[in-house]
Amino acid sequence: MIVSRIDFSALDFLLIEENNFVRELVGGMLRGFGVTRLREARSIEAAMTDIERHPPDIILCDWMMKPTDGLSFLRKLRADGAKPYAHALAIMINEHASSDHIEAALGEGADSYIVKPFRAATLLAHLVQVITGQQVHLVD
Amino acid sequence: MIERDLYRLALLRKCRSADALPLDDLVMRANGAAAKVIGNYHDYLLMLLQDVEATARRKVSSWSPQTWAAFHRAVHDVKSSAAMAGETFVFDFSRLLETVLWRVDRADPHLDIVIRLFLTAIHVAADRSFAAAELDDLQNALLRISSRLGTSGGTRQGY
Repeated sequence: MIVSRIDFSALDFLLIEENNFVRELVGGMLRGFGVTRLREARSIEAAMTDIERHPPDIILCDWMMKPTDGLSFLRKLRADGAKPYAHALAIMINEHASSDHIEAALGEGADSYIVKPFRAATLLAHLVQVITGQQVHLVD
Repeated sequence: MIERDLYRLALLRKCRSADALPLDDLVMRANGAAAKVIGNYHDYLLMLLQDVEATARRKVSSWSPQTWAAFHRAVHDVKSSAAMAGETFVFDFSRLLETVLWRVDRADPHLDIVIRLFLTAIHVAADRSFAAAELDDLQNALLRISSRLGTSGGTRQGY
């Protein structure tokens, strides 16, 4: 089945990004996609507290975070398969596009990897891909 | 693996609705939202630069007209570069500073002062809730530039 329409309003999203501008920008894009249940965290520590309380369906996480980075976050997220959040879909966001970075993220359990800067069409294509497994090519 | 597939299937079911919009429409709506955020950020950047200029006027009274000219040239470059960066949808302050400072003539005797001014900008940015990692990136970028040029302006506290 090919997905040509999608409704994100019933999914819980968590965006983890410490940069105010990027968080606002990506949050704006997600709301533009129709995401209504979006939570935001400025640090991995805050995100983990949030996730323990209410597991999200989809997580977007920036790699370059301090003091804990996005890769360490993925390890924590996937460490215990019995946890209710362990299967949440995770998209890693990073400015580095090297295969080493991408392989490391996927190896720690990221479902996808987006290189900054990116446009809304790219973000949507990744979301559709992680949920449906379908590759879509969208025109910006 | 089966658990993950079942999890995805459950999410996919949640995404089916009579209200679902075509993907192209979602992109268009998201682009509109992003443009608004970028517009606000440009306003923010202009405010930031005004703060830097005001701080410079307050703290540096001994500048020559040439130094002021170098400073205003740098500020102008920041504004121009920010407008270009907006088109890529992500504004990277650190990369922008590198671009700006490389544009300044290496032989400019006031270059270290310009670098110090951008350190002032970091102070202002810190007050405006820039993220810690971004401030570190900024400082590192300035230190690299300062080192390459052989100038001494290279601490976050320095004027």
